[in-house]
Amino acid sequence: MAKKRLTDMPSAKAVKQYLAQNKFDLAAEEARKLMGFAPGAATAELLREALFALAGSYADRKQFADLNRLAREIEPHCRAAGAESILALGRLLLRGTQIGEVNRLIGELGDPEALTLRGELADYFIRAKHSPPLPDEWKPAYGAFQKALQLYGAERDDEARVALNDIGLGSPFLEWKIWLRGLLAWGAQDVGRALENWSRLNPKRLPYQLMAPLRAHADASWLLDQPALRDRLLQQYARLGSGGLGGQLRELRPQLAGRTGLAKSFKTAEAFLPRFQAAHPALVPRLADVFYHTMQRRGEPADLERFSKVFGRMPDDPSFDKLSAISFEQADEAERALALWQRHIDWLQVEAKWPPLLKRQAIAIIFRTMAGIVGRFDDLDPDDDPFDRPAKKTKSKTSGAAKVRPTPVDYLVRALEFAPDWEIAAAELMEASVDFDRVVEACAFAEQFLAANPNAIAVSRAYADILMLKFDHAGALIQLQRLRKANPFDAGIRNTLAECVLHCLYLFVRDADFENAQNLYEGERELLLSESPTMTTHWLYALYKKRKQTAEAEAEFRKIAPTKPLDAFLLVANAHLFKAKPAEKSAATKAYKATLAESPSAADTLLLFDGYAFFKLGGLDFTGMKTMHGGIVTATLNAGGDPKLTEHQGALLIANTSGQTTMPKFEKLAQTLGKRFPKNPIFKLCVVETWLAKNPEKRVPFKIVQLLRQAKNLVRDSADPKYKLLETRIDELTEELDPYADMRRLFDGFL
Amino acid sequence: MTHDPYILLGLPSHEDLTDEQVRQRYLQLIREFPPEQQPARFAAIRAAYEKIRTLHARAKYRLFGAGADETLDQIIEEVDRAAARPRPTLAHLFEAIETPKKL
Repeated sequence: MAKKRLTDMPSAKAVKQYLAQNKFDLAAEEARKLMGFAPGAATAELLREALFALAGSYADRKQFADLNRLAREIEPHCRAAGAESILALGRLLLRGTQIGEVNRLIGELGDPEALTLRGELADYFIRAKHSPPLPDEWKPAYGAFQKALQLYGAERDDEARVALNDIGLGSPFLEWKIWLRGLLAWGAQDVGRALENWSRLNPKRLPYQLMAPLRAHADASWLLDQPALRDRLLQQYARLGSGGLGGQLRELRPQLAGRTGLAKSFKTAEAFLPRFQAAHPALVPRLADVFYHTMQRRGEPADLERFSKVFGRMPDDPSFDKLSAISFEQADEAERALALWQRHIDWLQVEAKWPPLLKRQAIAIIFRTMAGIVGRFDDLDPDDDPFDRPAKKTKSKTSGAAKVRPTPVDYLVRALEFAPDWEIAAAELMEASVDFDRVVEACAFAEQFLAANPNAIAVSRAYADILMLKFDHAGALIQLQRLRKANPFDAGIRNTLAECVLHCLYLFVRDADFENAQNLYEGERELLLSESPTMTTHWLYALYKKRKQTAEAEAEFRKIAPTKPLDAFLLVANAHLFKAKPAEKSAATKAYKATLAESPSAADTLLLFDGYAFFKLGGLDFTGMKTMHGGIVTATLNAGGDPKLTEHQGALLIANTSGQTTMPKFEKLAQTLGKRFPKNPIFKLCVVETWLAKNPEKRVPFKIVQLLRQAKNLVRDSADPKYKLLETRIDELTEELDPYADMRRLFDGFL
Repeated sequence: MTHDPYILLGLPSHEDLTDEQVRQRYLQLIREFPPEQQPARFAAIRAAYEKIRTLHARAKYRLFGAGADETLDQIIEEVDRAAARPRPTLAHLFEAIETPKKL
């Protein structure tokens, strides 16, 4: 005879494995074999466990015949194990509706197990839909409870209380009596008494579970002790309270919050809307709002029809033109967005029953939105030289055959037709006019607007900027002084005003208008000395020289430190501006070059950059100035190595050289700053931009994609609003670098 | 509670209002519900006022903001609150708890 292999032998390990895998029939089989092979207390316990697990699975599947057959097999094992085990068998038999068997076990068991099983049998009888096979001695108390329940249902609460008196202290229905007393108190709005009764209930019995949703609603401290059940109990209460409407609304919550389409949400809403409308008519428009705004975020065209079917028309967007316009705008489909906005304006003008002024302002807002859309899709080239910004041209101006598309200026003009005093739109109109080479119109408009609205700060500011760009510093001075009066502590205004005052002072000196120069200087002395002390010193030096006040000129000169790049540059600029002798120009230039050779600090380089910008924007031009600019750019690019460099200075260095993305030194600067300030997304983005500018046709390496992802994550995690401005550019680049972007878009609707 | 600023401030939404009318109503309400006594109510009034304090704000709200703050949770809360304390039957309670689970 072949020897039995060890692996074929039944084992406790195999039983446990089967149990863990929910293979209860195999577990029971293995346990039976094990019992035959190696009987003992541990094996018997394991067998019981396996048989109970299998019986439980029969009960779950309502295989009552199998369950009862198995219960018979289990019983001898339970008897050997003790009362707890017999109680478990009783519960099993109860699940198998073997009431007679349960009663038999109750008779055999002592307390407390008998009491427990009795109580659970009572729960079973109350739950049974048809006349249950009650033991005779249980019938009076059961009848009293059913009578009390009916009286409660008929709102005859006093009679119900009396009926409950027939249930004695030893009755198996005592728990139900306490429960119903609580419910009667609850129905009479006496929550305190209800809770007092319910607090006496046994947590393992059915009455406790039935009162739990009500108690959850009224007993906050008890609810705190049931954290795992909190949501379920409140949901159960809601089902009681609103005839199921609360529950159905709750069903919508995950559907609306999910990432999939809204078809299922509309279906759910459609199912309960008639009842919802009847019960809460005022809430229906609010539910429609929830759907409308969810559609705006992640709807699809078919949802418009679904919405109309369920909720009808939105009063303020009956054809969904507004919603569609916003969606197309978000999808960068400018033409369709513009057309839909125009349709919405048409509806507002003709059909909308809005208050007249509100309607006009709303139309103005939409025209401004349209200006923004057109402006975004016709944006300026970011690599433009900031000192030589060309006017923006639209396609309509360069191509006679092309469709004439209105410009932002046109839309903003329309906006102001509807809201003539709207300051923000007016300021934007001026800025857009400058972009489109309509500076004269912008100035005329500003004058007209400010005459009607003298306190329009935004327009005054925009006008000052335009006048500065036009070299009309005298005009800008008036606007800026007015702005300072309105807002004396605005650092931006003070800085721009100081720059403007210096331009004016230089012009007065150039034109030998010393009296005005003196007056303006005296009037703005405090501002100049706090905002631009170095340049003021140089200006005073130039003034005294021009007025031949040698002693005063020398006194100012002594304040100048020609070893500093800004001072050295200002000496050169002044020498050229006031036509100094060649020897003086040459000496100043030599000193300037020497300062650059000394690897100036980042702080000095930034000051130098500003000084150069001041004279360039002031119109100064001389032979060698372009070379000087190159030198300043090189110094800026090299300043990334300054050990005292701050993060803010780093960002300014990048901003001042942003037109140099193809230069290897710019790449190096961006990389250096990126390593030094790893939490700053600007520098990472610059490395990506540089690589793309240098390698427009090459396959993008993983490290560049990774840098872009890092920049995106940094922007996402940052609370700094200025970083949020980078998001659009990062998204553009992400899409640009994704070779499957087109295909993904194509399938978007299907995924 | 609704987020509609017109309802919160008790102002009509179907007619043009001046900025001064809105301001006067706001001042009246914050006198009625001062922040030190009713902070939540005051905050709601303040937020509502910010939404419609100028003509531009009112038009912008009507175009883009109306209903945007609405959430399903608020509607559920109102439905729950609107229902009077129920007087459930046993069958109703069984239905509510579905398959009872041991607590």
